[in-house]
Amino acid sequence: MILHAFTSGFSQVGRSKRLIIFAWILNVALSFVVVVPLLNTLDGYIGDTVNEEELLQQISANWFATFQADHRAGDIAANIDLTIFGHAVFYHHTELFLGGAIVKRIGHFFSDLVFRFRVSTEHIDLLLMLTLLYDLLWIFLAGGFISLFARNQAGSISEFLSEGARYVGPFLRLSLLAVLIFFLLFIIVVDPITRLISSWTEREASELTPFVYYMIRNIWVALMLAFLSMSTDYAKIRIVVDDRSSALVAYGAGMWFALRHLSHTGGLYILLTLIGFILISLYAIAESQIPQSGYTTILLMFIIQQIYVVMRLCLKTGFFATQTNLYNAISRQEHASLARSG
Amino acid sequence: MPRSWITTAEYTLFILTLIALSAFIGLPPGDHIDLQESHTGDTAEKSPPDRSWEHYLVLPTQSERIANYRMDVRLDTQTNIISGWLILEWKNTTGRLQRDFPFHLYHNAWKNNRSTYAKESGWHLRRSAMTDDEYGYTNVKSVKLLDDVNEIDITPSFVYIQPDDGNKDDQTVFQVTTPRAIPPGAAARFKIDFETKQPLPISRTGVIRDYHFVAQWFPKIGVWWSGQWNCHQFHSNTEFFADYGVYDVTITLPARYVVGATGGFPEWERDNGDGTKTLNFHQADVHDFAWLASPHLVRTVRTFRHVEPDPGEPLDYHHPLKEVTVILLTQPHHDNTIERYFDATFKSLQYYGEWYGEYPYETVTVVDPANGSRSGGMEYPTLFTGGTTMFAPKEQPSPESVTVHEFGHQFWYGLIGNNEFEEAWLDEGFNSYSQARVMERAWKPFKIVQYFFGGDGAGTSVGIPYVFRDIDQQRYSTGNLQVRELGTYDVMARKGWEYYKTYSLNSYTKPAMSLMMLENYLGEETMYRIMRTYHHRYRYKHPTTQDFIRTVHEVTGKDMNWFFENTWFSSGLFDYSIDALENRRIPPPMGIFSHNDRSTDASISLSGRYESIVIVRRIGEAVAPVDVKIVFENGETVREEWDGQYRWKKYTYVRESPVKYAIVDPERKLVLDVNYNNNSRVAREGRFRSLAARKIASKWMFWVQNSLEFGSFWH
Ligand SMILES: [Zn+2]
Repeated sequence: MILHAFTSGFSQVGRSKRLIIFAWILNVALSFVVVVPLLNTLDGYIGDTVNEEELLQQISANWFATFQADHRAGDIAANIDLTIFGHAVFYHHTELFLGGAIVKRIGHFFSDLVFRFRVSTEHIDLLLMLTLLYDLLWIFLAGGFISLFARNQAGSISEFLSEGARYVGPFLRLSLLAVLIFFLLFIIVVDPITRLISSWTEREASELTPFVYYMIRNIWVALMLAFLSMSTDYAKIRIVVDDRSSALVAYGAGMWFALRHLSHTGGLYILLTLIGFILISLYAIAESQIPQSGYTTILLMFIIQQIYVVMRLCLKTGFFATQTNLYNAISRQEHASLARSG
Repeated sequence: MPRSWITTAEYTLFILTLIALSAFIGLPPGDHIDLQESHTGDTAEKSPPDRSWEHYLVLPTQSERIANYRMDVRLDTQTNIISGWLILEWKNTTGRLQRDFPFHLYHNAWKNNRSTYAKESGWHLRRSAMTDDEYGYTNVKSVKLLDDVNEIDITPSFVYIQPDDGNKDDQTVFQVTTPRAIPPGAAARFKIDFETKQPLPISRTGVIRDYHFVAQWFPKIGVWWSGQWNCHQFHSNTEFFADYGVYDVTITLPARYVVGATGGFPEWERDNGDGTKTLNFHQADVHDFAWLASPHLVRTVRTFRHVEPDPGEPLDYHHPLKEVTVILLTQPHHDNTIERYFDATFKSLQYYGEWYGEYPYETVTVVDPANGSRSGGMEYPTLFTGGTTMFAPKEQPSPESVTVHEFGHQFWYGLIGNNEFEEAWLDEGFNSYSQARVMERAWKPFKIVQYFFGGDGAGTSVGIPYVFRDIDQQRYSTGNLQVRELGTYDVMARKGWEYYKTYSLNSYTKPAMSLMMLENYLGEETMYRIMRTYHHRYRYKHPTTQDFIRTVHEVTGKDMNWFFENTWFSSGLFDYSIDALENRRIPPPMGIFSHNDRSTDASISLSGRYESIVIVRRIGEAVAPVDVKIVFENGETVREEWDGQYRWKKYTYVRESPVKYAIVDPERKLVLDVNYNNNSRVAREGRFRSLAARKIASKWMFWVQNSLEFGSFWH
């Protein structure tokens, strides 16, 4: 059943190429908001020095640190750090993700707003605003995609957009609910556990002990987050397929569904995550093999990066498609067995 | 909406995005310059340098042995108290009568939160909460003056003194007075009964679990220096200063403990039959004695043998060195670090020995410190501590970096016993400089490593390492930025406890970088001669900054005061830049060039040639001569030497070809320059679109694109 959902889901994704390109354009457009200013800064900074030639050969740690030191607070350039190099970006973002960085910043912003009547700007910056905007866009796109996949027909862009608009309300409420749950999870459970690990193991003899604790925490948090995001996915699917409007009920139902058929839902989720890891590994291999010291190789790397982003978007819509198919298959089976027993 | 419209709109959007992307990156390659110089004429074989001066340098075979200690102590591992007695034989080489004798009691820095150490740390001992049992102290029970027959109790004269800050709560220095003066040339023998309680590890010493690191643990006499007693209180930043002598230390402790100590292997060892054992250690010509004990230490012993380099190998100095026994004590879970510790220690023995003079002792003990012991990265005579984690990848210089550094202190601190309180750069700075040279010589560049997915624990931090394979660790890759940020706060040459924010900068980074700069200005061979001469001349002595400067002047035969005035005795920053680079085509003559119908145009040949102007600017306050390299479009290269004195200097050239680029300090001799980005200027046509900028920006773009995805993944 998993494999069937998987293959039919990805063939649906394959049929929605144009929509994925559209999503990619959104991603590119938003990233340009912070990339173009940095490019201008770099052009000016490197432009008339011989560093141009040196940097093409190898990134110098001293040059990079000087660049950072010359651009402090408020400047887009202040946001860049070494994790843009190699494939450290995946380590960095996964770490932030497992630490709930974005959720906590949004959460703190809202809790300050609600409980202290204060707009705290220290939690938000241009990057976070872009992320939020991107989230909103995807709340919209998700409705379009799921309804497209649920009905299993090639729709036009206008249909896609109108379906997206139709579910924006419940999806937005669902997202807010998810943010709240994630925020509480991090504040009440994950962060205290992290602090406990550090104090429990403070006087341990071997650094292996805290390492093992941290890895257990990471796996546990990853599983929790996977389950919650899976629940949100099925909640969205229920909203579309069963035409529900209460986000709260849908969330509970999504969670219940995911839990009740855990071997199927979890299996599919793990399969998709594996594909994600394979994608990342392929990227990491390509990145380490391409020297990026001349025009052609830099361009090639750039193209590979964009291919990766497109693949990643395929995978993301693949989550919607395969899970919708799985949901439909399971409910059909349940109806059938219900009818047989009835 | 008609379908065709939508299709058109889609394609338009797609094409627009592609256009935007190609505007971003799809550039034809820019006009790049070739930085590789053709080294013609430079290929002639260099004749080997004249090393005849080496024969005139003789290493002293032993120290003056002024302060000699015999001790007998017992470690109680239940109470963490070390109790016993010491007999100090002190030779009066001061040339005058002495009655008052100051002693250090370093452990009293951790006695309470009113000590000068605590005060300078912000009224605490750098730990969040401590129970009374976790503080440390040394309690002097009695002091007696011994002569051939009598013991004279001078305990009544015992008084705490505070020569540095007058803080009456500070008990890190005491003084006793003898009833009769000790005449010059005579020796005084003191017998001191004392008890040292080990604290929870605070500053490189203490006890955690069953790991006892015992340093700065006994009453230790000050140094008569420059006509007075030099016996500073223990400050939060400063280190130590003591006279050389012979140490003979007997330690009794539970039999199951593995012990490492100054002196290496025990002279003798005895099982007391009551679950304890007694060991005796002996080491001559050192100025301190440290030891450690834990039941869990893993001992590995290997012998260092000097490797004679291949004849063709450049710049190795072919000095045979004697064998040294290396005793490595590692933590049980650090088996994977053993090879790396030995490798680094052997390489250090080789390079330090060849460069500065043979390591004279029989043994060196390398300690892999216990987690949370805060004893890592510290030097004691013939014994030092490293420190690493089991997760360090081979690309990260851990434990190599710390091992080379702390071993290096055997030379700069151990064998050259400068006053660490007052002139910390003479050990830390000299050693950081030497360390960087060994690291460069002995290994391929290490890479930058960052840890993810972990956090604090076991007194360290853990995680999964990520190796930035494309980014080399450079020596002092951020050193000049530290100088930029903090350099103006203090003059480098100051007493250790009198810096505002810059103890670390001015004890390590700046002196090390200035020595590299000195090497760059004088050449590697001259620097080798300076350092070797200085080390040979002052081994087992207490040299000062002025002694080093004298050596520099003597060896070079040049006045190098400009260098020291602008680095060690200055808080000014170096920053040279190419401020302007202009190329102008000289127009054909226009106007009147005649006088009484006779042509006066003398410069007709200038037409069509280029006038190029390069302006070099001194932005910083510090002054140093700098080279300027000017490269013309046709490949011609001009080198200028500027004294760097005035605020700017203009160079004008009239040539067939315009200037392509100019670099001030092209070889980066001036390692203290706080901004290298402004050191060059390239004449580029129009608005230059940098390919390197696109390389970095495209990585940033991918980072942002991923960030957006990660940020929207969770709902
Ligand atoms: Zn040091």
